[in-house]
Amino acid sequence: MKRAYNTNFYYIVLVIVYFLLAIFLPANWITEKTYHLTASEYHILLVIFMLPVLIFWYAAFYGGHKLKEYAVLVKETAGGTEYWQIARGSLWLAWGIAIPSVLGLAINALVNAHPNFNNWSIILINYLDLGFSIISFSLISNGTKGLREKAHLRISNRRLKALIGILVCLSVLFCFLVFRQFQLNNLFSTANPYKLPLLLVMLSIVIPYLYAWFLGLFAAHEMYLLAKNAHGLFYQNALRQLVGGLGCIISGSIALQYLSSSVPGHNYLLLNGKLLAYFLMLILTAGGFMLIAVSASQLKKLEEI
Amino acid sequence: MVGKKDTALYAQVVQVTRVYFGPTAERFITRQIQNHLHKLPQNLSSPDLKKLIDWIHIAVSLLTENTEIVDEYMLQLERLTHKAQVQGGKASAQRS
Repeated sequence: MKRAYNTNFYYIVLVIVYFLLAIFLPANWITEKTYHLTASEYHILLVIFMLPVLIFWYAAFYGGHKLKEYAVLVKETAGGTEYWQIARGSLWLAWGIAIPSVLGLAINALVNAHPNFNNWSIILINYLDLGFSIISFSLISNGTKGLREKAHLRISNRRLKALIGILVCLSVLFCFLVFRQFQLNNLFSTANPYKLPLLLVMLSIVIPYLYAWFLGLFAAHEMYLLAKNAHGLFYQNALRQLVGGLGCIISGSIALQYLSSSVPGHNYLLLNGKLLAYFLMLILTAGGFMLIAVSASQLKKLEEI
Repeated sequence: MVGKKDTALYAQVVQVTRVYFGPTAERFITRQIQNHLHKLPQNLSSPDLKKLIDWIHIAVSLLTENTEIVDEYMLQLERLTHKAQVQGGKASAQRS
């Protein structure tokens, strides 16, 4: 009961804060100018775009807490600690999408009033996104690794090679997207969307992101192996849904982070392809969290019935 | 000797259940025995099986609407009942 209260409480607080910020913070002049909007039209537009984001947050917190409830139930059994880590990682993913959005709105208003803060705001949001990514994927990965080891499963060479291949492609494309925004003749210039020199971006953004994404992909694969080799018809069905859900939230989150980190630089509202891609990825991730909620409820039922 | 046989019966029920419940099978059967038969799992005896199967049927029907799976599971448990009855009959014949 207490946990359900906490989920709703955090969600309602986030919604209220986000809503208040969207309504009362000054309108962004770039968006106003681009679309010839008045301040009130800008706020209405912002609230309309908030709605799918709020639905996504609800799905994320609901899914994360359902998994946490299951993890609490099986805490004393073999694999309980690992499920607990996966649940915590999923919740960190949910927070990792919600908090930068809320902070982004507030910082954007600050930058509106004090343009000098623009560079700092971009750097801060970038590192915040990265921090959440590393924490959540590390937790999920620790959990799936533990479960895989307890089930005495090994990843075959062929699958490992395929995973490495995916990571190499992901890395090369990511580096290409990042580097094309730099003036490569001046490596120390901060005149780029990251507002940091190239070397620092490489060491403190690109490499940590790739590390986190690899952990995420590896974790998704480990869960797939677990579900594939699990015994028990009902248990395997529930686990398959959990794997599908985790796969969706991991790939959706990686795609969201890919998008925000490879095309960074502004927090204001622009109706472009990036926004559309953002919503598509949110839908994928929200679907994943809903699948996690369904599977966690089924797993919980197996332990309670 | 009787205690050993009954533990074996519990183990057989768990084994059948593992096909459907996987690693949660033992916990599931233990819960059914403790909550509905008000017994310890090791005290499960063949006369309890029918009642246990009824409770398992109710529980599993809440998990799935696929009657084929439920019927198959129940059939396997009923085979255990039959086997336990035959073994029980042999044991009493030997005693007499």
